[in-house]
Amino acid sequence: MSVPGASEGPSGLVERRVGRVLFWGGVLSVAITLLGFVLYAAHGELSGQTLHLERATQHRQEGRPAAVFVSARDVVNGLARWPVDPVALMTLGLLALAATPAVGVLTALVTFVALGDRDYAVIAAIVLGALLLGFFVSGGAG
Amino acid sequence: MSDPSQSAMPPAVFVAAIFLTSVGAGVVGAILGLGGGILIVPLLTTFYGVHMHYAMGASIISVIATSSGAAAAYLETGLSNIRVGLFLVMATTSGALCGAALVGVVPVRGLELILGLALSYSAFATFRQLAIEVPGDVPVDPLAYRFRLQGAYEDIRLRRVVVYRATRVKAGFSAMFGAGVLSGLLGIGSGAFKVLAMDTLMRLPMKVSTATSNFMIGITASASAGVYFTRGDIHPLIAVPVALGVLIGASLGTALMTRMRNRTVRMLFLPVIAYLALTMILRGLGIELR
Repeated sequence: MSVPGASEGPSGLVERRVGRVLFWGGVLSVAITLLGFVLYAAHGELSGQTLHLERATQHRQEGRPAAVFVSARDVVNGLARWPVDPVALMTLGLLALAATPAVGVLTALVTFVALGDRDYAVIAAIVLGALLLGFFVSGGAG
Repeated sequence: MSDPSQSAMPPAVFVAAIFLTSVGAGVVGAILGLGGGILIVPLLTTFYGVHMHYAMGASIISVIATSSGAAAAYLETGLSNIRVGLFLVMATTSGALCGAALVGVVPVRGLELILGLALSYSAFATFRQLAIEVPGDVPVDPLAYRFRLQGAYEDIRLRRVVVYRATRVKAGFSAMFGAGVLSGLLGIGSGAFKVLAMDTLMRLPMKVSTATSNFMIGITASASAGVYFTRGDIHPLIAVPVALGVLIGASLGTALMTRMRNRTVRMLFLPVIAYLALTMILRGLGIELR
């Protein structure tokens, strides 16, 4: 198949690399999340009150349960504890999952630069810049 | 349970139930190129009584999970076009930033009405194209040529290699920017608009449109996820089963979609746009469905 822009040759390399990053990023995130969840359940917390599931259901919003992390520093502190805080582990997995597409764009940028594809290196850089700006400015980029 | 505030379902059953629901949402999301927010939010709020904030937090995670689960497979098969995706993501992300800056400045209801009407037209256009399996010769667009917005994929169902090239790039790019502005303003996902702009305006094959949309939605959702996290809207006991379920579902969905006809994908997509259009028009007129 010798179709310009098809999934072979230089363009195929970008697709393979980004595909691999997305796949392994997803797998790694799930593994961390699952480990945290298993530890959480093994501690008998599933039927406990640590995460106050009832506050999130029946359309109720009674304030965020204290155990739900909202900063990277809290997550790091939770991971530094021994035994490791299972909720921190679950949160780490979710954050890793959330960061995976941005890492994919970064991979595309690096690959386009390596291939000398200036147009798409610039486009990937613009997308990455907008992502970072969106992260700091607003949650409405979805 | 003696505590009346307790969810009616025991936590373990609740977690298992939303996991299974998410598997289904992942299958549909991967096939249609939608984030899953459109599916996950109503399912969690209506059937499981999850508060809207936590449903939206789980939804943003489901969008990224769908994207990661599906994009890898689609990129490998050539269905997802990374150049088209990155080119158009430029428009949606910059549009979303403008939209976010305009919150409180422009009347949202009027915009919802316009959006609803635009979606109704798109539903009509999609219906008209129902019989078209693969776009034929499309007018040559210098921008598509300049930015190599083209590709080929092996269609298992049609048993041939489908070669395609985008057209009306300016119109597609503008539609993407508009969709980005609206998603920034209204806080909605824009998977449906991405698919429509690629399928209807740029005349890309439907399967390429949904697969490329899958790649794009993950990128835009990634930018929003941090805000949901710092607001405390990502509740692990809701987001974790949703993420796991959607990832598994999305992997199943990709395997299914490669074997489907473009026409079938479009037929599945049509009621979703019709529903979205109706919801938007009603909201624009000040009528809430729920």
